[in-house]
Amino acid sequence: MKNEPTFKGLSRRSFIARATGAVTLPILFNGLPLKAFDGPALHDLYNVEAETDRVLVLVQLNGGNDGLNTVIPLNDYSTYAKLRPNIAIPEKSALKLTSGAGLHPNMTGMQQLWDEKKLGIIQGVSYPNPNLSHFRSTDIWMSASASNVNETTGWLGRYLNMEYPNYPQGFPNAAMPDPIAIQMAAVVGLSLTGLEHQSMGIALQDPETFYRLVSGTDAPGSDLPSTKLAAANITYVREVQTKSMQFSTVIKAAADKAKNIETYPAGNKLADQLKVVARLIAGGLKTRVYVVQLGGFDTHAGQTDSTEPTKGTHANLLEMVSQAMTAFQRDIEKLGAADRVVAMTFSEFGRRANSNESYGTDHGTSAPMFILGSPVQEGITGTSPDLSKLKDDNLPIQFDFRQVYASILEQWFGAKKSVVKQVLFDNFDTVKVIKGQTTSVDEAPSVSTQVFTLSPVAPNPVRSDASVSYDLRSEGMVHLNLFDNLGLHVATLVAEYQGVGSYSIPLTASNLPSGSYVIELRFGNDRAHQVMVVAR
Amino acid sequence: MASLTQYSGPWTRREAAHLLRRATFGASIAEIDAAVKAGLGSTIKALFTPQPTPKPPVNTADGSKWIPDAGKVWTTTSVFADPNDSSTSTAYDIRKGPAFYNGITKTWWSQQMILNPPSIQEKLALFWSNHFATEMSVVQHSILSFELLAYFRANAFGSFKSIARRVTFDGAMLRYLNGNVNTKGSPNENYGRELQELFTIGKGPEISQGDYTTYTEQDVRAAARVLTGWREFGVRDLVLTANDLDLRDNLPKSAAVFPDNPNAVFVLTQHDTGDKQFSQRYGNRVIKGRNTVQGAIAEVDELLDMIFEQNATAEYLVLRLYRWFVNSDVNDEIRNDIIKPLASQLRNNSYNVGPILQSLLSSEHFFDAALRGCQLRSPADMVIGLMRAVPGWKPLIDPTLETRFYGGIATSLAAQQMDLNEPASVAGWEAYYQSPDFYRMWLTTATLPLRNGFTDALLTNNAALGRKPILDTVAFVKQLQGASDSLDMINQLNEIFFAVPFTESTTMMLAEEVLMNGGRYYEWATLWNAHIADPTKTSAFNAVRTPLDRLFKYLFRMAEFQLG
Repeated sequence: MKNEPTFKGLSRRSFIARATGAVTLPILFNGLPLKAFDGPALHDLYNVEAETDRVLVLVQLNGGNDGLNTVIPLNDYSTYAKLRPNIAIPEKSALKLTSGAGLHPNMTGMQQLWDEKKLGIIQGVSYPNPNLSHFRSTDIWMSASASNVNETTGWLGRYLNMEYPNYPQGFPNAAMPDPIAIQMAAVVGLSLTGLEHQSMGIALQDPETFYRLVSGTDAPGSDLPSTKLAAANITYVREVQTKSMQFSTVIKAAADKAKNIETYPAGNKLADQLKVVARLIAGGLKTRVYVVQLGGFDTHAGQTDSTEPTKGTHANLLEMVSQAMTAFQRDIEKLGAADRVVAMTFSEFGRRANSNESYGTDHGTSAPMFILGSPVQEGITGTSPDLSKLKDDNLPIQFDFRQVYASILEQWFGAKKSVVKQVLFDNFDTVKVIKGQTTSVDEAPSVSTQVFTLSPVAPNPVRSDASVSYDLRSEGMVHLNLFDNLGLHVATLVAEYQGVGSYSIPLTASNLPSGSYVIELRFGNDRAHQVMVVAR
Repeated sequence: MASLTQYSGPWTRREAAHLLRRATFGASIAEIDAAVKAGLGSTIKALFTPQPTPKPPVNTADGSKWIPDAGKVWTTTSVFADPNDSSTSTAYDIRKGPAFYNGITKTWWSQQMILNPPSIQEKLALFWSNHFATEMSVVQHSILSFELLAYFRANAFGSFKSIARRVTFDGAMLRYLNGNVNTKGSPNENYGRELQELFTIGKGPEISQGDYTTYTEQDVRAAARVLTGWREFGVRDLVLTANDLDLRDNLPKSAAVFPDNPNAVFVLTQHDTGDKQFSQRYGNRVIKGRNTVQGAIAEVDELLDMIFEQNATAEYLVLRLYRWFVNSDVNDEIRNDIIKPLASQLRNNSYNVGPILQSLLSSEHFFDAALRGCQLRSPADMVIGLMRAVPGWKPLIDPTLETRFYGGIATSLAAQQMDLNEPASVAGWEAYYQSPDFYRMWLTTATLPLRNGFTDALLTNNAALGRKPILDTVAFVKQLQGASDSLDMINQLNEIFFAVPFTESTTMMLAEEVLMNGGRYYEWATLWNAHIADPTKTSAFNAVRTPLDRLFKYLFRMAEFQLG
């Protein structure tokens, strides 16, 4: 190695690689195709962690969460208390985050994550001309459309469809052997509807039951009737049949492979779902998006107890959210997956600033969103709502939810700006949601190829040992991957957050079949490639 | 062009089965053949004949009565009394809680849907419970929830406007959409909003902020104010008031019982007596505030009159009925040729839905071949429909295991996401409004395997039937004529169970690859005839049973079977 750089957060994977002095590469036996060994079996054989890309867990709070009692505006407590005298959280009970904001007293877990710099809060999120209908507003959030447009595809569905064109034709395949997205429910929501109105995700409630029920399924195939509507329906059902069968095995295998380490709270519907999500992530599914949900936030009445505003329906719900998400974060930390998982909450709207006489609140507009995980940019973006600027008793808007979506797509999934524009139908200024990432409002230009260089592999062609060198002039998340000439992923060489410096990664090619390979370095939104030829 | 002209084309098993599949949940061979014989007109007439009111459910644990007699105003002392007190006639055991009694209601309802004679009434009862959605688990009052369902069944083809009025004052709805806390100081908009958005006039495109074409946010607020002061009679949660024998003591003294509905009371001090100004969408109507119970009823009636004077209200209901009974896709042609004429018929008939449904279900449009199979079966179509289509199990049921059996049906429906009277939200089940997927919402990678599990289980021995299967495939096929011809048999099964015909190649594939397991289609005749020649011979019976079980299992797993 040239210069031994100082490493930030050495992951277990890179530790193994460095400790043994060679990258543990998946190799082929007797010319058997890579595909046959892909998936969990391969990882078992070579005792390496599963290769999984970055994961987004979307947490939907159905019914319209009351933002003001979730993140309490300590900056103007007296106005807050005046607006909602019967349900205001006492100032001293709020869990203070900053001088201007405090969490609901039941969210102690989230407060700890805040202290550990794993929690980001974006204040005042909504959209222009907010719609107060649950159904319409949920559709707007899921489709990421303007409030006067009825869009029938979902924001994540469109993005994932661009990443995985033609889905479901040709899927699953070696590059994506698993469901692209999973909704922990009986049905898949609009968020995951793709460009051709196909669902980019599958619905899953319990991996064991799912497997048992579909494993006996024959794949009925026969020709289609001449009537268009019936033929379309049959085609649809056959797709569902095929998907159920294809994925049941991989899901069961992933669920069997990993066990939850953290104890999750009992009787908590959100925790029940996140528990399975953690197992599937740690078990090696390459699934990119998980959607979980918790209902009951439509607190028109009895939001708090009449005698004790820190207790009641909403307090119980927030406790569930906080406990479930904290347990999930702890679990994936222990399972070694925390560097590739980010969770984000959303609700179709916030509630009115003023309460009603039934200890509840009616439908409102903007509310805070939580972004949670080790890679998350901690802190509060925006300010506690300005209670002097209410319009029809509604809170002012600070951020369009599509700004948050754009930020997640760019900073977490590494989507190019042009792609994000296509997904969201417009350009939106981003906010900082991931550590070490730049935003469109920052002074600094976005990460460009000048920030890193990937040197040619040496020696090349390679017979046994080679090394891959690169320089970083900015710190950030680095992915160094090896692909074969069909574009199939062969090995992960680096996947971690690295500091400024020069790196040289040893690579043992003695077990690779002869042929050409591609080394890809991915940093921020950019990629660089070098070709490597293995010859003997 | 889509036409409401009375259908006069072929009238065979296929058309009769189509009508019965949509107007009811599904039909047996005998019922289909009876409809063929009776003709379209008489079949429609029979489907719209009011059915006798079924006996309400009893406590399945001990047979005790918990629903008060029809027409009786239930009082707290007689209904909510201590069940150990022998001086009371009904015994709603408050210690068991609403979940217990709601479970009884679901089991009872499944049983009604399966056993009642073919009638559109059952399917409409389900329609109304979805349209005017309440969730029993939220209402937390089993008697009110049951009484609302009983009302929906009894008035299934009655007046939409009357149903809307009843629902507005209904105890379960007052609980569900927070009418109970709608007060003059702080109007609760929940019911005022959904009444317009989901129940009556429907929400149009939002053309400017807060203006939904048919009504505006101003109208939501004004309607909420009109409705202030109405309370469900009991108000307090049963569980919380275990020791309160007379719940009326908990009500303000000015409470007045609403004469037409024993479930609602009016609390004058909580009523907003000011004038209510509606938007230009309702012609800037002002509903004058009143300060008596009769005045408050008049205010609600004026509100409903105002909403029902709008053309959009009739069109909205017809659209909902169309999506329930016909198809989800509504283009301009359907809107102009079907929805609008039926909406005007609905208005001219005092909002009675019976006549327009008769027109719709006997129209050329309804029988249009292009629309066959345009629906996917709902869980009720699937589960209840199958139980009705293969009625051979009915005499076998062990009365001591009946509750568990029908309870299992309700559980199957719930697992497949159609939990009875527990729709996903106040908008009802997504399959009837969520564009563009609609009926496809029912079928996902999570629910399709459950459907397969259900149909597979029809062929396995069932404890409640003396260890016999629900579907005895051999006995079932014996009802067909010419079952020795495998291709003819499969075509008959197709007519009975499937919305669209099989192609010749599918029929042949089913005969040779599935039924005969790789043999030739004509070899079936030998097996079948051997069994008919000596029905008592076990080996000959097994020789037909195994292939038939295999065939039925396959048929029910075919994608085509999911079409409704």
